[in-house]
Amino acid sequence: MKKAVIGGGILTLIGAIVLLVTLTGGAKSPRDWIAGRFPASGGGYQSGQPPLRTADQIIRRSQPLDRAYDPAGVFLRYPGAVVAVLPAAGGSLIYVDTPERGYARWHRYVNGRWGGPDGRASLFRGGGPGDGK
Amino acid sequence: MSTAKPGGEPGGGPGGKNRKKKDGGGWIGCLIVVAVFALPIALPIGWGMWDEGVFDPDLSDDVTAVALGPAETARLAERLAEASRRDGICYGWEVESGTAAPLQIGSNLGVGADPRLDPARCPNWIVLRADYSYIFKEWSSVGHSIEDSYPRAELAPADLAAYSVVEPSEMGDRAVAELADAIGSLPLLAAEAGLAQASPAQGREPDPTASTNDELSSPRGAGWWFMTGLGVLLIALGLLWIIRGAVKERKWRRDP
Repeated sequence: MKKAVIGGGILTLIGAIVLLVTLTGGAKSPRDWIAGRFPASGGGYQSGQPPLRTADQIIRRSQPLDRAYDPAGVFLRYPGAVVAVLPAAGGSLIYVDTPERGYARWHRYVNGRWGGPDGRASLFRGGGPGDGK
Repeated sequence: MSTAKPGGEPGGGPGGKNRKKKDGGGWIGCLIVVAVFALPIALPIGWGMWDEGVFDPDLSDDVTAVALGPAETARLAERLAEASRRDGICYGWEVESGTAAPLQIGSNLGVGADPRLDPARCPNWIVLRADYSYIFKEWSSVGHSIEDSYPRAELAPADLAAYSVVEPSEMGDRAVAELADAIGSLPLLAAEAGLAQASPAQGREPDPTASTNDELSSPRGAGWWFMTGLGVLLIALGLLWIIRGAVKERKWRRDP
């Protein structure tokens, strides 16, 4: 019984640690940080810096799952949010939406990259020509 | 001191068998623990080797592979065309894939159209050049440069790394996405340098170009599901081990 308790306990503990790290690790939504760092403006937030610099600040604060740089702005994908950083007079405007709303709102710029028909992204995927295999 | 139960066979009786069985159980437990520690290390390494084509002797991709597919170059040309109309600057790309495939050139004028060779339509132009090294079916490194028609080179390729658009030290799963990002960010870089006036994206909801089943992809990759499954499996195995030990102990106490 002692062996079973020790062995089983170790296995359970390792499993719990693996599960905890997997579920709580990874990208964190910068929603609260953006709300505290930038003044609200017209449904979004105002930054005095241009889009690339503003997006860089957000990325350094919280690494996104994915990102898309478009001539129209920078789009960042997090587990619980889509952040759009767009050019505006005197700097940038930042919009934070839920993933589904953000995808629909900025679909023109991120479709194919973050999703597509039946949720399959098809553009700009992988690590290069041949992509191994 | 004998471990044989009273009335059991001396030496190799039922007690001896139990002991052998218990020792065997201990070894099995140790093997499970070793396997559990080895799996998260061995599986990703094996997957990575397979992914990189280590087990595939076919090298045909080395000759034919290009960085960007037709749908991708068409998308880039379309996005840059909109920016070019607004800024009065032609934006383009030149990508050397590092394979025997021809150079990939394109711009807001279309796929294959080099703005540097069309001064009538493109008095002002900015072109991103990407030069990849391709070794055994994968890119091993990349060098970026930006050419422009302005008297002073206004745009520095170092800005791409400084603003986290590209991470030159990493040639991971985002290599193609980074190439698209570097090209797509040219108008934003031009606006930062004061060469153009960036205009904001127009959010439309719903986008009329979207198909009805167009959805966001799952943010969880295969690795996330594997680790979640592994965690659940380990917890289940651990609990099963404890329960099995408790049942055996109870049985032994009841029927020594």
